[in-house]
Amino acid sequence: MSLVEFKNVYKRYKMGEIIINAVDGISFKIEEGEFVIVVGASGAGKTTVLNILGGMDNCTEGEIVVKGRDISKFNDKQLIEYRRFDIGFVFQFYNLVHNLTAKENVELAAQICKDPLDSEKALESVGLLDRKDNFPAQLSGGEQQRVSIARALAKRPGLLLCDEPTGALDYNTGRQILKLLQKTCKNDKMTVVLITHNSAITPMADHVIEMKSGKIVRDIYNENPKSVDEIEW
Amino acid sequence: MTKSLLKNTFREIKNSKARFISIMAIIALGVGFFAGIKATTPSMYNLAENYYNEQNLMDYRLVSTVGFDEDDIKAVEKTEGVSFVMPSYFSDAQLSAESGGNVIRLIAVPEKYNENAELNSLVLNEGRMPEKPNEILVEHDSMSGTRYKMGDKITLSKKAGDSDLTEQLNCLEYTVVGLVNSPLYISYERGTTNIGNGKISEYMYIGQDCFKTERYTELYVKADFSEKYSAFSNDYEENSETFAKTLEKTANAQCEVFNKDVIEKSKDELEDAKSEYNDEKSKAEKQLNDAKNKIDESKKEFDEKISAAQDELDNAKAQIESGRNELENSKNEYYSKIASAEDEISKQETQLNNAETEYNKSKSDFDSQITSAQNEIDNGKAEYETAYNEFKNTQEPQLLAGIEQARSAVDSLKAAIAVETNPDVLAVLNAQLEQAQQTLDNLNLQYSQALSQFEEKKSTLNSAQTELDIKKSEGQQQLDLALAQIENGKAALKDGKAELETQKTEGYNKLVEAENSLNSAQSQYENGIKELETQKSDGHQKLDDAQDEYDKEKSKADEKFAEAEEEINNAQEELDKLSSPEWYVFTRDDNPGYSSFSQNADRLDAVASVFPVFFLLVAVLVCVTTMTRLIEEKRTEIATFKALGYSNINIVAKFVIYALIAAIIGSVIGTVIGVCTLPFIIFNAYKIMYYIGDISLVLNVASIVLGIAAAVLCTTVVSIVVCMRSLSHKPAEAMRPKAPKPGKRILLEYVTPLWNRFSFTAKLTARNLFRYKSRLCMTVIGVAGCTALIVAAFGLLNSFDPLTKDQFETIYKYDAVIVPKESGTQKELDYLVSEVESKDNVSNFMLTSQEDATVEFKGQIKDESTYLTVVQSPNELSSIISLHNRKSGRELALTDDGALINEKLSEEFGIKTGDTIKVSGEFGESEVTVCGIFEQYLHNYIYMTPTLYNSLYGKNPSYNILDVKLNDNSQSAQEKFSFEILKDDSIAAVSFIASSLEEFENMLNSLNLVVLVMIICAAALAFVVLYNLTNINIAERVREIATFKVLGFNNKETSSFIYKENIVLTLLGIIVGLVLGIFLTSFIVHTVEIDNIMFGRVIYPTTYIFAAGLTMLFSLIVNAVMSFKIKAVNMVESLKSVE
Repeated sequence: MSLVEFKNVYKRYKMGEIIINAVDGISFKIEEGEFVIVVGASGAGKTTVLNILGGMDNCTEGEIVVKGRDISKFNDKQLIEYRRFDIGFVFQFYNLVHNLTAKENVELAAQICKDPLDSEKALESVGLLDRKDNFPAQLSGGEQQRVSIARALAKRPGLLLCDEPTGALDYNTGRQILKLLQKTCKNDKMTVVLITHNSAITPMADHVIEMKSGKIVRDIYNENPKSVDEIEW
Repeated sequence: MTKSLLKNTFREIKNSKARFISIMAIIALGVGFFAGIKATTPSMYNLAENYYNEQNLMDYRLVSTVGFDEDDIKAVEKTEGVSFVMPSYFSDAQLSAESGGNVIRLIAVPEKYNENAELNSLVLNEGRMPEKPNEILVEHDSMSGTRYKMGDKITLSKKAGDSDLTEQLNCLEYTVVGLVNSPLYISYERGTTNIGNGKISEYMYIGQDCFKTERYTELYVKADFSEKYSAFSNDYEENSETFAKTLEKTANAQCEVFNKDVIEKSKDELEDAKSEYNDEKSKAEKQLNDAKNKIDESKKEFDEKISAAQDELDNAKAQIESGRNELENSKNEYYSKIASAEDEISKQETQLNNAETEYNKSKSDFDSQITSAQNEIDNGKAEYETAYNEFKNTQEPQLLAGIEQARSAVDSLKAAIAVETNPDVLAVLNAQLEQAQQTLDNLNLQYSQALSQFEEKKSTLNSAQTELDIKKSEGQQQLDLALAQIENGKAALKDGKAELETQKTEGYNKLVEAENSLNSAQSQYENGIKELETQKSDGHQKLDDAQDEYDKEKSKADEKFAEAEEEINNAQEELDKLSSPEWYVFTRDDNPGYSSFSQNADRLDAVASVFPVFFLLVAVLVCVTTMTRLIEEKRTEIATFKALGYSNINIVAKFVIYALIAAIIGSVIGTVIGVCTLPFIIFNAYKIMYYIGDISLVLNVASIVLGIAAAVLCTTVVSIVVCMRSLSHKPAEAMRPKAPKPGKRILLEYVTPLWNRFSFTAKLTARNLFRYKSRLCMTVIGVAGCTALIVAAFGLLNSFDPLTKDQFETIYKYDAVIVPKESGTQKELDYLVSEVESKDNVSNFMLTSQEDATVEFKGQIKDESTYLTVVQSPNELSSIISLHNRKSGRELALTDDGALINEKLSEEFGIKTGDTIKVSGEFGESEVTVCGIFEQYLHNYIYMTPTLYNSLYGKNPSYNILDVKLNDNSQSAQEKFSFEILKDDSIAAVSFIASSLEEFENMLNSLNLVVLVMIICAAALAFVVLYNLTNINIAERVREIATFKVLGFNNKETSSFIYKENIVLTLLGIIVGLVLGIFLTSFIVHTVEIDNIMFGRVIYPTTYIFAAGLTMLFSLIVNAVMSFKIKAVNMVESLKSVE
């Protein structure tokens, strides 16, 4: 059985008289340990898919099975637990808590999990152990994003969801972040779902889902995913 | 301003409804409260002014010691500046004991004088004006209820102080026909007088024709200036004072006229009367003296005669006495003689009897002796015969035989001897012979002895017989002699007895004779006495009659003289009084309640200047914070507008419009509600104390404008300033999110052991608090302000408390006050004391003197509601009134060293223990050292011992009040006590502490209402402020909240991050607010205090608890409301990068 399965999922917004289908009946599967990239132009519905998958939003119609549970039927409380124990999030703007140090930010996530990764180890795995006592404001964008990844990893989530993690970063820093994510996927057998508008990076993924206007236009598997170093964009 | 910008503005309002409404509400509360309270004072002034205008209140009231006549009135009318005059009458009287004994002021119903308008018109609440002379109007009391009903009878006591009321009034019994309010009395104060207890308790109106007095007793004056200025205004006050001096000049002039016209004439008349009186008096005295002499002479004569008769009688009496004594002596002698003779006889008789008995006894003794002796002898003879016979028969032959035998033995032996030659045998034979010879000799001797014995015995018996015979004959002889003697004695005794009898009879007859003659003398004497008595009483009667007649004549004459003298004295007194006639000019300020009303209104204004200003301050501050945050949040938007090319003014305008709309709508709503409610609520409370009609709203435009302006200006100015600051950034820079304020280590973190114990939320909260210092300050100040307001409102409520509980229960321990009609003389006091003592229910009481006093200290003067009190026995005072220091709680002893004064007085003038104050009044003037300061909430009192009073003022205090402590203080017991006590004519009034307490509680209840309004407003403000601050806090941290949610924190966990911060801020605010509240309360309480009342100075712990609790409760409610908002934070929207 797949780790994740979307079955004919819709997300509709009602704007006055008009109904907009942000997600228009999509179905796909994600297997455990895959590095999945959802790619599409702005407004293709990919963030909505990620939000729904991350338990931050509900779908209007359809079934989403994660680890054998249909999360589309979850109530708020179940969704909170789902986010808490199963999902790790990495945002475009990091969303670190400014008042907490790097380590504390990681601990913030770790403290609410059942079996968290040691915060320092998590930071070490993103190569920021020496900066653990710095506040976000004292870190560069890339470093902040790495703290954000460490925070997500510390929860030992079943799924790591990344929403344009390199969107606010320069090219080189972006590469480093992608590399880190790829490494995490390979080494830790972490299932990573990454959203980007940049189709140039798709070769690094095991599984590429391309969306357009709320629909999946392409759902392919790379036989030989490339390392980030091999890709240029 | 483009259309889209406007649209944006209104959409902004629509999108942030809660925030907009909370700004509006805060401003509405602040401005409304300010405007409402501020409108109250002018409304009250306006009300009073309208009332005064309508009732045409006089400007001056003139009172003269000698009254006024038409000339006086004309003189006053002619004074420059006088508009017109209305003469009137008044008189102070005491109700009769059945009607309650209160002191009242009777005033003539206002009537037009000449063509002038009527002054001080009455408001007729019920009934009608008096038409007949015995009809009366009583005061109408809307709050505590009028004491009288229509048709009730009111009886006045005939005496009013020293004077006779019938001299002033035509009638003393009245029927109530109407209930009125007089503009002269707007409060519960009724002023003072010089009769009864000195306190007027109510006023009444009767027709002018009820007054007997020829001269008017008072003049009401309306001045020209009063048209121009409104009552209570400074202009009015100034003019009133200046013009009073003008009137005083007129007064002095008229006094002189009076001196010349009336007094000189009266003086001459009086002199004539005096000399006539003296002549008459001496004539009458001479006549009386003559009469008296005559009576004395006849009395003397009579006395002499009587005493001579008496002497004679006394002599006779003495003779009788001596005769009687003699008789008594002879009687005694007679009886004693007889008794001794009888004694002698009985003695002889006894002797005879004894002799006889002795004789008989001797005789029988003798006989028995003789007989026994004879018997003995006879026995001896018989014995001798027997022995002799026996001897002859037996012993003699035996003896003789023995002798014969012995002789033969001797003989034989002799024979043997002679034969024998053997010496040995011879020796033996000789020895045997000798023995035998001896035996023979013995036997011979025995025999001869026995013979001689018998011989001897026989002769003894014979001599005994002879002796006995002699004795017998001798004894017999003696006995016979004795018997003969006895017989002689018996004969002599008999003769003696017979003689005694004869003497007895003889003596007795003599005695009876003597007694008879004495008795006849006695009866003669008694007749004499009787006769004398009759003569005596006759004479006395005559004398007494004469004396009586004389006395009657004399007392008649004395009475006449006394009357004449009193008349002369009265005339003299009258003249003395007249000789220094004085006019008093009273202004409206002297009307009871007039100045206190304005004081109260001013005090309210003072509250209005403190409490609402503070209120407004808090409101504005919170609005400013809100606007600042709002604008800061909209930084990107501002930048975008700027980038789009909008002018700064346009952009600023958006926020200014936002702020303006909130401020204006809020102010208008607040003002309307505040002005329409608060003055009415507050005046309702004051209506208990003042009757002045119903309040009509007068807008205090200045304060409304001020309030609105403060709110609008502050919010808009802040909007502009903050906006301009945002605008000063380059658009590109501004468009980027404002770099979040970097997190920083706080000092607390270096305290590692403590810090490590902190949970994440705690760490986060701690860091957040210090990260946004301005937000911390704003929130703390906002919450503190609200808490302080609640503390102040409750504190004000606390300050009323001692006025009832402490004053009437802890300090006043007595239950009733008795006021005697007359006081002063010891006799009256003794009577009063014994009268009160005799009542069962009285547990303890204390005579007290209370006099109006003026206190002076360092140039400050206090004469209103200030009393000098002297208690009769200072040592027992503590059981009647507890004089103790409030701060130390120590009971103060009243000593001769100095006076005790109350706390309010000491506080107001800055008098400390050991200072010297000047206490003056009708009793004199003197300086006294202050020995202690006692807790007292009503009026000002100076307590002294009688000794100190005497040493200061040179006289004894006149006790005019009796404080009584009852055993049973129940309502029914009080009624019974009052009824019993008032039955006594000498008691003017009884009042009970319990009813004063009730009255006071009623008054304070209305003030409580004012405070309740404050509390509700403060609480409302606190709620809105907390809501607003929390709302902003959440709005600012939506992103953070969303992050937490995404990370999987549940709602409770997420909320707690926000709450912890809120709660800490609220707690900080509460602590600051409680401290601030102490100062605010103290300030407000001191400002609100009325002159003669001290409010409590203690804020109860419950107040702090209430204030802190309410604030905390609101905070929790707000948090609870906010949790929905937190729940509603949309993770997706919030995390969608920057707007």
